[in-house]
Amino acid sequence: MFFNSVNYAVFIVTVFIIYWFFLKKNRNAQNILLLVASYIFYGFWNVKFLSLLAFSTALDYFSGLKIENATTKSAKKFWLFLSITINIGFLALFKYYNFFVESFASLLSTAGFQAHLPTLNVILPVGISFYTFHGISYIVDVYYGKIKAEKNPVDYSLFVSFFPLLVAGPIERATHLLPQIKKDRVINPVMMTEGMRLILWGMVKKVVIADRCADVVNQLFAQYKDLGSIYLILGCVLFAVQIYADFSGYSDIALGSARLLGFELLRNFNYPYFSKNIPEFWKRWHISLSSWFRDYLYIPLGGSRGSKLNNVRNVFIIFIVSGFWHGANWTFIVWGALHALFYLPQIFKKKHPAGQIKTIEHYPLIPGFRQVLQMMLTFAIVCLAWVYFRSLNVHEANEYIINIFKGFRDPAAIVNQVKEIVPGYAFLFAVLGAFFFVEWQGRDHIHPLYNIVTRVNQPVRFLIYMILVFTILFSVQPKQESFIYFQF
Amino acid sequence: MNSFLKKSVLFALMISGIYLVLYAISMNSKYKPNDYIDAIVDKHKRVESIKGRQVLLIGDSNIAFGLDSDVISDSVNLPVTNMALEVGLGLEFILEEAKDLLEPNDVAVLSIEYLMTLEGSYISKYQAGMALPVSNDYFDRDINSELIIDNYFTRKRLFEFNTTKISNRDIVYNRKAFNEFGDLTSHRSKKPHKGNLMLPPPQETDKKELITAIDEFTQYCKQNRISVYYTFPSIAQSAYAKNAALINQFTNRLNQIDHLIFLDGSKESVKPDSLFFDSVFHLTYNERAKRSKILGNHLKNALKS
Repeated sequence: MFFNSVNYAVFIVTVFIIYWFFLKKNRNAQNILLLVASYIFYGFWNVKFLSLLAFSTALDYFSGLKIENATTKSAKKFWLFLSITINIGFLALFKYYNFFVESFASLLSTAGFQAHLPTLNVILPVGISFYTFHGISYIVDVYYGKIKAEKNPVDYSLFVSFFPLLVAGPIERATHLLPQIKKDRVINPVMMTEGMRLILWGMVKKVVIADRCADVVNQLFAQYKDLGSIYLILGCVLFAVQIYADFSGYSDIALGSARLLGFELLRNFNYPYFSKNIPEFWKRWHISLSSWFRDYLYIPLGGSRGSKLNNVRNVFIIFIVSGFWHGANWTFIVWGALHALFYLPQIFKKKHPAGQIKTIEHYPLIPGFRQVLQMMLTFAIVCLAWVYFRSLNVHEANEYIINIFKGFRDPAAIVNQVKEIVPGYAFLFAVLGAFFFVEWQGRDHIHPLYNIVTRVNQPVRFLIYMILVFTILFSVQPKQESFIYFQF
Repeated sequence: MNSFLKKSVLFALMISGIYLVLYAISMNSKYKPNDYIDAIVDKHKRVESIKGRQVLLIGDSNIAFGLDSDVISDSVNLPVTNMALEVGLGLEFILEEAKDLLEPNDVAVLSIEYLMTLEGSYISKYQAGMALPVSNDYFDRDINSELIIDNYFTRKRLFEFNTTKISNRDIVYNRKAFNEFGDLTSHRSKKPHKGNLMLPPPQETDKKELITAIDEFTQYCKQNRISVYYTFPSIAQSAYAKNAALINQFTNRLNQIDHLIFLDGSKESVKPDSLFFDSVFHLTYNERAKRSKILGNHLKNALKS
């Protein structure tokens, strides 16, 4: 069930009505309803994998209790190790087994040995990377005593499988979501209104922006061998816009849906393309994943403590693992490694960028030249890395980037391409320009509509909502694009 | 909560009301969607009007463009109908349709483009279902997709102001483009497309499900005493070169299907780009006659044995 479907609209309205009108005074019943709804939501993709979700949930639930009840450190360690191993094992089996086997066979072949190793013919369970990480963070937090093991199986299961975040995050922490599950939810009209606005803006991002870009991106990446530099640059810039609008749109709808039910989920995006450098980008892009890796991998490895060499090593580890998390393909590993490389200058700078995170919120509406240049430079290198993320293999990505630079040898061709592209994509550019302007003016709030709709009276506010709703309705394509992050 | 709910309901009612008004206005529009898929009605009529043994050409536009049923009919002395429309219908639909029409002793000649998917595109199937209600049984209905498509056509009816404009695509792809046998002939006097042929993105999706569907179809035909043959789709040299690995993998899997008889090989179906009309699978009008003659002879020999 996609968020941008009629099915989901009916689903969320039904859950909302039962939740607030029939079970208002019974938190346990509300939690059971949400759990059942979450399993129905997941079952729309593949009923068979519900058992995997249930097993993973049960494993972490019992492991948590065992860790808490263990009297010796070695027993605690055993249950921690067991849970993490099985969780990672499932992930490895479904997501990475074929990659490792094929890479190993390829390595043997390079060494002159022909090996036919068995591969698995299985599909990747939707959301496995996300709910596995929920479980691991819970177990680690219980182990380190940051949270008490959850005794109520319904509450714990809901933490893992809460439908707004089940298939593509945000990756929640037990310390943040479990207390909300265990607390009575009160009706908060302000929160609900904000939830609706988040859903509305998320739909605009997905349907109007991401899907519109997707058509062009698919064509350009499919024909990259025959295209000139400007078309190739257009391809990677539009993919950057597409993946942002797609994933952050999904996250907005998830956060909005959760707010309608009285839950506050972790924020996943904070206007990342307005970042002035790569460290700032990573504080604004897929925040729940980058903070997960920071807390459960980077800091345990030593973080920025110790020598510069250790710091560099840790940065590379975290980015490469983060890349690999996205998929079993060398393209994601190169994408991660490139970001590690782009991150390095900040390590050697005297002044660490920590503390810069809030600065763009305080920029004037028309930023200075230097600020614009920094943002554009950061966006350009992020786009360059996206080529690896989008390409089918590293060879194609290399070729794509080489072709961009090769094309500049022929200035006449460049001029011709610009002449073709500007009128050909004028409408798309206008839409994207309007979109980024709205995002820029509202960058100090979780969604950019806030600054607009809170400054006008109600009829105008309704008019704005209506324009957005009809823009969404009339932008829906018959062939809908799936959310990109569902594949991870 | 009450205020929030009241506003939400009011807003939803306003949106619904405006949408219904727009929908009603759109129904008076002169916009007509492309009627290429509607040719399914004519093809069914022809098959149903033929009594006795017949040959059905089953597949996608590579067959619609690339075969001359009359030439094949002369070779095998049997009536031939070209059932093919487009790849967007998906293999599941195409094979279910074939099962519905084929009778014992009939002959099925199957050919599918390498970019075929099992499900195809819902809009093509939906349009087929609108034109020929029986074809709604050939695929799983999905109310969500149908609402989205209805909404899409509402938008088209509202905003496609120039209803007299005929696109280049419409000139070739329309219901009247087919002859009495179901072959597409509208490209007869047209020059091949200049520049790059339409090249679909490489298909990285697993094609095993297609093989399974063809295997099941072959079993069905065997059980119902229907002869089933396969002819590889013509493909432009440039597209073959770019996708050779995937095509060979698919061909190898096809070769493993029991009881599926091949009338030709995948490599002999690779032809120079200049022999294609507008896509890497659509032969020019002149080249289709040559392909049909060769295929007719192969089929004649296969039926004899």
